[in-house]
Amino acid sequence: MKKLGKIEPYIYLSPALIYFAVFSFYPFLRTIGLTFFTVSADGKVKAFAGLDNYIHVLTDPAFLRSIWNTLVYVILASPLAIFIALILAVLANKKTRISSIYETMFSLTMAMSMSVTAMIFKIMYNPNVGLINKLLGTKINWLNDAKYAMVSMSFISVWMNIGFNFLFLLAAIRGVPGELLESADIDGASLYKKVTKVILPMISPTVFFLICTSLAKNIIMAGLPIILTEGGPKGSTSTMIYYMYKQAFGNMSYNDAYAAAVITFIFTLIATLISFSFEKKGVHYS
Amino acid sequence: MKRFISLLMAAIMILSLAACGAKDTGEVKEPESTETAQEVQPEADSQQEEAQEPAEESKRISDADIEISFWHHMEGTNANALETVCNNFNDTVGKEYGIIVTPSFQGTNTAEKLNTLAQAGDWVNFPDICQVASAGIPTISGYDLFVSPEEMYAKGENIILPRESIIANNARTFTYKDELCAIPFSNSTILLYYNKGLFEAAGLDPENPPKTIAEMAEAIEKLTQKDGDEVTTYGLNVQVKRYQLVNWVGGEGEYNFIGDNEGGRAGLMSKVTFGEDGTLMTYLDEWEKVIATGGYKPVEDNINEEFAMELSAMAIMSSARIGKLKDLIGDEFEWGTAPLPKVNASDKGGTAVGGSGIVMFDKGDADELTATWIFQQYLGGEDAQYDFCTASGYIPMNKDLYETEKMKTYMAENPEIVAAVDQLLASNPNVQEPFDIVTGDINSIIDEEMVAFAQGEQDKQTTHDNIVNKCNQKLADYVKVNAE
Amino acid sequence: MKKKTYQNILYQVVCLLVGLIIIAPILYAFSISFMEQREILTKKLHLLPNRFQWDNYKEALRLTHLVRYMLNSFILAGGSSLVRVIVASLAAFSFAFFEFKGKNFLFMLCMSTMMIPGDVVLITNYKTVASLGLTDTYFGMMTMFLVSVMNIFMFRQYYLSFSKELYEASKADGCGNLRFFTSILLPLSKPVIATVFISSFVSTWNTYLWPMLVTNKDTMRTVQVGITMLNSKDGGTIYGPIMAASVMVMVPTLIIFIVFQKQIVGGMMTGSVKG
Repeated sequence: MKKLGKIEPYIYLSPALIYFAVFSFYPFLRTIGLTFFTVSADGKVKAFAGLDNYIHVLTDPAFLRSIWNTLVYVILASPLAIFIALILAVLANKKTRISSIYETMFSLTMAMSMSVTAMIFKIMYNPNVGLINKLLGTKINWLNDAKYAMVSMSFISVWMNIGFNFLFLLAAIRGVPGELLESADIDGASLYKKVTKVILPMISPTVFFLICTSLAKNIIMAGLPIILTEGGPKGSTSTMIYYMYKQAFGNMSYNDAYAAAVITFIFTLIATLISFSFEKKGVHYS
Repeated sequence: MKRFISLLMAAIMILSLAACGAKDTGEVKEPESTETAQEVQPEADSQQEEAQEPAEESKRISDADIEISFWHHMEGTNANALETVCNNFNDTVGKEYGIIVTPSFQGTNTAEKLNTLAQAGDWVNFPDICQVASAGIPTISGYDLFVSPEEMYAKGENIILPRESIIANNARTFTYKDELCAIPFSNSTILLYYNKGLFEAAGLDPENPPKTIAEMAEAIEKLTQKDGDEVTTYGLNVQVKRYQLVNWVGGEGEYNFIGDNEGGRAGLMSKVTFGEDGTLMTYLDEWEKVIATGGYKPVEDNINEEFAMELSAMAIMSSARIGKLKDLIGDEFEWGTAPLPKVNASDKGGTAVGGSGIVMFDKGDADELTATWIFQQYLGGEDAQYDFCTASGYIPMNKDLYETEKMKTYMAENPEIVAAVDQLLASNPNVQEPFDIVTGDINSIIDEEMVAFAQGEQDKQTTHDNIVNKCNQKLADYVKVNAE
Repeated sequence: MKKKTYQNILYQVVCLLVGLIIIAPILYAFSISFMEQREILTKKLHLLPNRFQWDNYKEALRLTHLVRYMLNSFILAGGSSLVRVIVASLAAFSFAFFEFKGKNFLFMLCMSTMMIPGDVVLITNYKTVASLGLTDTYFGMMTMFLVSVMNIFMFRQYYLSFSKELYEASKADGCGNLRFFTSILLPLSKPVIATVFISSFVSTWNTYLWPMLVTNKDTMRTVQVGITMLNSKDGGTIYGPIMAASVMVMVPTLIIFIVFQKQIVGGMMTGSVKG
């Protein structure tokens, strides 16, 4: 029994680690290795290429634009989805007779799939028959005008992520000790003060968790452009992974595709590291 | 006689509709549709016997039934049409030879899946036969298991589809390095769709649609309706991407290959030629007139629906959409189709054949290969093409079928399809979408540049140079990595 | 007092209205699924169908074997979510309650899988699965979705909020680690189990590319393929049947969600997510 003690934690970890080794690390390390070679359209390694593939991708205006698009998308989608969810969580925090009804409503988007959501928004965004233009009285071509396409797409993503974020934030806010809020009430603190001075510090670990995961999820997003826009109009909705997808499956250029994937990975890594460094400053663990 | 035939046709159509209607959920093969197919059988059989030697001796390939897996990318009603064709085969020709075909949907891009399997070296899971878009041919013809109809015709065994029956244009679409690589199957051409009611209202002759881009520009001027500065009905809606552009440029003069090596059909395409031979500029010169009208909508949002809602008076789309438009428009207004307006009035090239063909693979069993070959030919045969095309809206690739009464009846009842067929038969077979391999990139380049041109963001020369240089850059990159 | 009641009612009404705005796209999809073609294609504002008719549903069912696909998706999503819960809870147990060499490194290593895009490892993974002979099997379909580091993360955050004393006390009582895990920790983890299960179920229910790649038969297709089959590229979009199919596909996940949702929020109050 004592002997088992030392390796015991590894035993519990082993299923996950073995799985990751086989289905994530092995293929990805292989991909990283391949980025230093020229790979032909039928997947055969042809010659050592050094950093050529990286240079080629990083000088491709289409990829540079994809990096920019991804940044825009992440900056629009990640914070907004958390912010809206936070407002909803504060709203739903107070228990009422019907609170379970609107709690369900607020979190329902979590149960929606990307493709069904994409279909619904495609109709609503339609410039002629779509609900959104009819309600707003506008004639905007939401998904087919380079000015609006990325914003429209980010909005879909925000909508889809509200539910998930809301659920976590609500649980966190309800975990804030009642005394703290009461003492704030006694001090006559405004709602805004209560949220920023009492609630936010207390739920910062949850917010941190949501920021981390949504950054990673959003940087490697490709589903919406694949379903809705094929990266258009004028390349305005091509994300980094959509670029990779197109190079690999549309053009059979694995050189570009693999290098783009590794660069995207590095971006995600940097974003995660930055958010971890903020964790030290801004996240309060009780 | 004619009346009898049309009655018979109507009966068959009702029966096949019933077969579709009976198909609810669950099972892939239901008894109902088999029964219906058998009722149709006598007619199909009699035609077969005419074409072949007496049915006395058994044609069975082997004692046990041979199972053939058939991958396709047909969706919705087209998928139903294809399943009906497979069921018919299993009940008629398949029964004679002892072949059972099982179709299965493999996503919208079968070439992508084949490519993944090929790269993983997983030949075991390859299908016997597969429907692929023409752009996939150069890659697929390089697979170890690939067997071309060219080789099978050269062997001369078990031929049920005479090679001459395939229309030359369709054959050329699937020809790579002088080898017929697929049997054409679901084909289409690009058409001008126009609203006859709006034509009349604008004082245009609804039976005389524009024949050139310049005429089209004039028509757009008259058809466009405005409410103040806001366009309420566009004269024309089309987004010029690779498909549209190569059809226009390809049809200039006698014909135009678009790229070197016969547009990639004689070997790897390494550059575009429409810049150096001036054909792209000629096209842009004409296209500028369309843009100048102010009644041209250069992006497609829901082109079918907008045409059906009379938000655009003309639209340029594949003939494969005729069926969908019939559904959408119903009896709301009169509309028609016409050949794609030419770049110059003197052009003789015509348009390219779009769509998919059927490729086959040798999985190591001689009997299985024979069975696959028979089914591959069946799909290009008169019966299969008639059943499939009338239910899906594609245009038959079988020359002989056009001589039959049933096809003539169908065309008389569906005048919209006539323009597509006439255009196909009048086109030069050398007018084709090029095998440009980096198709995705070329498509986005053309799309972006043409939209920028149409929206007045860049002039003609810039557009021209950008398209030529960017396409050549992408092609050069590909050649650098993949040249032998 | 009376003023308070009014305020309270007003508050609830506001919450309900906000809720309705949020789920408006879902309600709209539901409404469209009952509309006729010409009702959808109108320039006027048209929110509700003129009358309830099931034609779109019939059409969707006629064109695809949606019921069969739903069964397949159910097996795929249910199976992989179950495995996810087991593997993730075990791994998180290790990360949260044990001190061992390389713990932080291993945790970061696991976290890094979140940053690897699925498409780039597709071909190699297909090769692995095919060489294991798993093509055309449910297990082959599940392989890509059996473990997710997000779930490990979620479990870990939840476990970290447990007091170590609980663990130490049970240890002092002679309760083995595995006993503690199965009979004390897991029963207390219902909310996080529900969360992990639902989020896994929803995401695997809707996968498209992988299940399509590893299976070759029509009888092995999933719901997402069914919707794609209606969304014809060549023929344009037919909204009515697509929305009907989408609603049918959406309903099971919504039901599962509503059933489990009370579990989550109710339960998570006791142990909120803490780092």
